[in-house]
Amino acid sequence: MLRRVVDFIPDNIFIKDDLGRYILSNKAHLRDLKMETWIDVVGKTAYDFFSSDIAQDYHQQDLGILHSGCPKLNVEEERKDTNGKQRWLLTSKVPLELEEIDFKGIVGISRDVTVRKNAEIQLKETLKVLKNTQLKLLDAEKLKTMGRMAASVAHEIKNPLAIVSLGLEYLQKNNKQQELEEILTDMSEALENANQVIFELLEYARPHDLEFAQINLNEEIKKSVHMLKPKLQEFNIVLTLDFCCEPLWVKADPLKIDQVIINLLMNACSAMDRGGHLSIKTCSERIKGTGAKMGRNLSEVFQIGQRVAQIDIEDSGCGIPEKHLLEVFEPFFTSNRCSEGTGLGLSVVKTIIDLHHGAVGLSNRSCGGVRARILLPISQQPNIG
Amino acid sequence: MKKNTENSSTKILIIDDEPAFTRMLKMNLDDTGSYEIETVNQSMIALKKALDFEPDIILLDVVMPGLDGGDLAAQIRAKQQLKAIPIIFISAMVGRSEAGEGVFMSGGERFLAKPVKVDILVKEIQEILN
Repeated sequence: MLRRVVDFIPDNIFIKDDLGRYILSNKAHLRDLKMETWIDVVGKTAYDFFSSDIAQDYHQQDLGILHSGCPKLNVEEERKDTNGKQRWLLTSKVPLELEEIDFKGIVGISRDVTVRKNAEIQLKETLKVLKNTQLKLLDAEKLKTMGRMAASVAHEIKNPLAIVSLGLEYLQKNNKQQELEEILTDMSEALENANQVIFELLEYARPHDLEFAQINLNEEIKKSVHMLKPKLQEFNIVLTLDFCCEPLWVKADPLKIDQVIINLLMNACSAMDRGGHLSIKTCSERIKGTGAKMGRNLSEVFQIGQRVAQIDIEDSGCGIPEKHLLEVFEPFFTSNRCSEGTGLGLSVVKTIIDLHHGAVGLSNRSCGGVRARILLPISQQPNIG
Repeated sequence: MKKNTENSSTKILIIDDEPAFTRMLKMNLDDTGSYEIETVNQSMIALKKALDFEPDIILLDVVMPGLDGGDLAAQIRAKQQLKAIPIIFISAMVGRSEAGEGVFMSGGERFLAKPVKVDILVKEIQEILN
């Protein structure tokens, strides 16, 4: 009965003694060895059926199992079968010791997984091709962006250069001391603008050097606001802070987060050159939907129900036409709202937030002005002391 | 194109969104003593300024927020009293390789590359007026 069951199993089943001689071989195994009955196999070794290198390999494996007493389970091996065909086998071998009949040997079971293995290899190849294609597409996209940037950089840098050049030309032709100061001021401001463009361009191209730390967003925002206080006074802007009473811990690069907050605040200030109200609110939220106004599908970044830190920066300046709400994150996009600046501020914001696995989006407020919203994944509170 | 009258100076309207640029260019052109200059930094109000000022030549930036130089030129040319006024486009998007040191023509329009050399601009203005 047991013999019939063993023969019925489609996997190769065999028993060998401690000298490597076959004691039992089921029908599947016999087929593989191209033998008719088990009598053709009993007493013979792997050397009788396989090439010497394969047979030696089997023998070494078996000896290892016998000496160590440890089984070898689910070992994938590529082998040539008795017909010379390349095949993949999934083999388990366990030591077998029967004291009552003084037997020591191994039991093996081996399954042909050639079809599955070939499919896996093909899948890996396809994945490799896909990755290559994706890289090529990314390169093409990068080239496109670089092309756009080069044209924009030319525009942004040549304008300040034009001013400096005209100033110098004037100075060369005239020597009116009283006008000298105004000219020099304009020239140095223009040069500073050019410097700023190059600086932000580098930031845009190289923002991946992040140094992560556990930071409390509320404290980080306070620092950024402090730096901008003189600017807010100059623009006659009233600031309201409405912070979440609990600390908002996130894993982030504090310097980059400062840069994000400052860029968004500067953007808001530019839209309120005749004064206005600016508010910063922070809270802890759970992701409820896909967030149509966040510039990207939130489910690609977060899991529904995930806790995130939310920062809202709201201004009372002029809004942004709906069709431009996404374009403002493109490098060098200019709008009526913000004709000053380098045109890189918001694209730097987006790149930094993307690198923090967060999301950022702008929307027009129903009461006027713009709301910039940042979502960042909340992390554990750091262990203090 | 001729000047308004033989005795008055040539009227030039400079339209560019960069105040420091218009100020510098105005100072340089004022310095020649041959021109009456007006500047405007917001393209949206430039058309009204042109109608009020009635310039002999317009120097016009191409890339400006709001209304760009191309659209503004179309609006200027759509006005009966302004359509004959020559326009020189001054653009930072034009390279020296395209423009060389002087004015170059593209699509029947005159372009001058930033940074602008005052002597070249004055020479071009004189050629247009004569």
